[in-house]
Amino acid sequence: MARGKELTVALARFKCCCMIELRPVGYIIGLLLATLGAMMLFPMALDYFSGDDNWMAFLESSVLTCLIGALLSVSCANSSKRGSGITLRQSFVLTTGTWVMLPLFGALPFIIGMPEATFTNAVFEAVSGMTTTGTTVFSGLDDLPPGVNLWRGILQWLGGLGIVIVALIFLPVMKVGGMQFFRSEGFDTLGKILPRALDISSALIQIYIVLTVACATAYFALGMSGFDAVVHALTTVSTGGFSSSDISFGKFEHSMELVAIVFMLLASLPFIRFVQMSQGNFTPIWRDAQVRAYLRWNAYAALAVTAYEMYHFDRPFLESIRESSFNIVSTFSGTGFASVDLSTWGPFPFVVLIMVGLIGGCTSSTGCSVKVFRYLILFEAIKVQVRRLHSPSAMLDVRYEGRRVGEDVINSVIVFFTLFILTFGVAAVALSLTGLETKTAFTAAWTAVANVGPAFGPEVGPTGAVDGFPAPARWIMIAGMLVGRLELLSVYVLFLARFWRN
Amino acid sequence: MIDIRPVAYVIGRILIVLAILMLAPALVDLGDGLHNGFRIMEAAILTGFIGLCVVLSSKNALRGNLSVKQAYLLTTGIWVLVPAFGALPFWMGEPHLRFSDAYFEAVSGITTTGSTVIYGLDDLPAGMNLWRGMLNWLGGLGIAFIAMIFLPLMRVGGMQFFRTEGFDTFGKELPRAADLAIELARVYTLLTIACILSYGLIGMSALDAIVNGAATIATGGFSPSDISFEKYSGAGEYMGAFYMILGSLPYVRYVQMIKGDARPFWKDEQARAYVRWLAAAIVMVTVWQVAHTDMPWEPAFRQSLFNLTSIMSGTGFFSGSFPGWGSFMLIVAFVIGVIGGCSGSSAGGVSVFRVQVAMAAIRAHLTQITSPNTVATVKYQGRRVENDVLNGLILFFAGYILLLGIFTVGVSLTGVDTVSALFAVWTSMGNIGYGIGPLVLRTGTFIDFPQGAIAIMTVAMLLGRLGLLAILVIVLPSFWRR
Repeated sequence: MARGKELTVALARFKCCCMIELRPVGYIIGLLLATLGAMMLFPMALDYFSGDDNWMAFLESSVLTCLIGALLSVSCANSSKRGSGITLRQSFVLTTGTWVMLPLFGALPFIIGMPEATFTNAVFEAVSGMTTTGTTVFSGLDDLPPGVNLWRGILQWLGGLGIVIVALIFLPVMKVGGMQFFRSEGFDTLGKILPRALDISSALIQIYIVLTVACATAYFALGMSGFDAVVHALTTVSTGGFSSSDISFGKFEHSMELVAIVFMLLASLPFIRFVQMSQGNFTPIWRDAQVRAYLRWNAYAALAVTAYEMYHFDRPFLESIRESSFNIVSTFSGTGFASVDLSTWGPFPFVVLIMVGLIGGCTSSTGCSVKVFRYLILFEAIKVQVRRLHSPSAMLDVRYEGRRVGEDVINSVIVFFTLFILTFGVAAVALSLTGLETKTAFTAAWTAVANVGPAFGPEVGPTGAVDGFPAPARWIMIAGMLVGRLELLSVYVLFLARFWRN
Repeated sequence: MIDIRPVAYVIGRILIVLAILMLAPALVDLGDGLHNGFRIMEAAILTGFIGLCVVLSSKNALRGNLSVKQAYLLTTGIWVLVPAFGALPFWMGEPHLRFSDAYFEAVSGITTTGSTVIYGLDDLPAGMNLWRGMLNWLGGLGIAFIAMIFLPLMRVGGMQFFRTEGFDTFGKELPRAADLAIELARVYTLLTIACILSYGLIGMSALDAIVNGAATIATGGFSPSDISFEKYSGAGEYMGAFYMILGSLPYVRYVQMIKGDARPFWKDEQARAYVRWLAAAIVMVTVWQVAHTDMPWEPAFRQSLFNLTSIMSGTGFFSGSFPGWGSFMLIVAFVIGVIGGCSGSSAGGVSVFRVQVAMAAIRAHLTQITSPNTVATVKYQGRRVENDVLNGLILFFAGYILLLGIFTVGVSLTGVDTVSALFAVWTSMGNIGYGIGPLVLRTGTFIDFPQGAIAIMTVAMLLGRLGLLAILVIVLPSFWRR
């Protein structure tokens, strides 16, 4: 009895210093883990029917993940009152918690099934999957058990779906990086989150599945094997970039690249517009300033690189425009497929690649990096600021799509951009401290924080695998990928002492 | 729409001064019995004549004060036109550069960058090296004026924060900008003389001491030798580092110090952060180098002290094997080069002040996100930073990074390799002058860069020097409309 009382007191005290009620978060993460465990049954089935012994690994991981997930949600279930939703702080813990916990369990099949994969590599691969980065530490992908390749694809697919939901539902409320601008399109207040969130999420999931099926069908129709078509569709639509082959798209015919371009572009457009389209409203997607700018910039970059290639290397037009547009779109959308060895492209295309990687796709898509929207706001804000300099008394507003952009949105966007650059710089310094070459450290930081995929430099393996990096470098990249994927601020707030106090 | 005559009048006056100053190198070369002296003399006469014509033709318009637009035009005009005449000696005289190269050299001098396209500096006539040092020195003095007196009024990049500081705190003591300017010039001259004497003490020749001294205090970085400070390895490096730091602290503090109040100097948050960050970088790079190579402590420390100070203060001298120290040094150098020295000095880069306020703003923003009901204010040096200052300031940072990217694309388009292109833009926009990259390594100069790259770097130096917006503003069509 006395011990029981002591325990209650201790618990009460713990609740006092940690003012955030974590149980609703645990409940949701538990459910997600159980789902993840269930997803592991797909690769298990594939391995079982193709006669690979590896299916046992998936079964074990699946049971373990489901079990822990169920335990977690059962033990936290009592706290969630129906309809109350979750608070602002809880949603911060939830997003970061999800992206930290799920990859840990997603790494289980690699840990159990592939004795040669270390813990670091397994976690790296899973994080790279869930964040839709696409940097791999495995080489010899073609010889892996098919289930493992399918699992890599599924991880990315889930990660892509997850980030779209987070971007549409949570970020606007969390006011991260100017996303509150899109609040009215998503939700108005926290209270209403759950009912409408469920509506929107189910619409999103439908669209996402339709896109994936269409992509897989297109690949299959043009001659990919069924397995390759599925894996590549999963990683194309999530702008992930994992491939089931070491040479990525170099393995396939050129027509595949065209399919990939179309679907990578679609996947990096704002999904909210697809939701509107499915409701029969086609105007918003054509009017969307972000979509227009994104497509325009893609075209500019691809054309500039094409011109450079034709001029300097005397390449035929069709070949160079196909190659450049595939690789530009792949980098711009943050996918990371490659069809050629990009390091042989010459300095100008290389710098263009780095630049478009730092721009990234549209908001509320599976695309990554700073996002087109923030650049548009930034340009607009700079323009207004410069005008104000010489006519201080004029009333000038920053406008986006005809709407006035509030001071707080502008502030958030600028802070986000600054923080992105700082994070990028810190990651590059840290990576070079582990002994990586300058170019390697720079591009590895770029690929991690912007969730792009390829890294360049002498330490990168011939297949693009980064398993030659020292272990600390791989952990820095893991951190970079997570922070970059969750739009920086939603992770950084967790490090404020204030956040955990009342 | 804008009355440009007052602007032209001031620029004309400056050109006349420039012409008079050109006589100094001319006399030096004539004293050495070199024919080159006559060439410089010709350049001086040309400059003086054009300056005089401009002054006479626009004299009648001078009345009252300059408007804001005129002030923009004036600053930009000075930094674009004066180098065009400052370039004349390089073009007409000894190295006989192409005009684009000569203009690059003069812009690099006036913006206190210190990148050079002249190889074989040791064999150059003494007058030419003196002229390079003088360009650096004048540019440094000019930008300290502008940064203290003009930019706060023009509200460029959050500089209006210093507006009150420049005038109000002095209040009764220094009521007018002209007084402040005189004090500033006095401090600057004193520092230069001290630096030249110190260099003389450690055994530099008279010419070397004068050119290096002028280039050090201006945080310019033109050296009369191809091997820069490697020529005075040892005591010279310590001495150089000391004066480079002095040259990149806010000048307003020196003025206050002369007035007998040293406290603001020690309490200045910007100066303290600058020294702290620099020290951190030096320690890290030294430890890394000692751990990874068999270099002894003393030269490792000395070289990283000298070179990193040179980079962060935007000077651009180099010494020893430092440019080849490898990846970690390169990235640290890149970061501190972007940060740069203190605002209100002749140093370049984003400036410590802006980085500090940007970080404070980020902290405030994070607090705001977690507790939306609190009002988080950004404070700097105990004072609240207003919203408009804050926006201008962080936008400056964002614009800086964007331009860095765009120029790198441009330079790499001319066929320069990626690392050289990135660092060439870095060195130009930050007015650093330190050469890094395969293309620079052969000579330590920018002589191997194609013409297109040189042109882009010239533009980048000017933009970096005038706080970006001062020039961008003039490009806007609305500037010229009523």
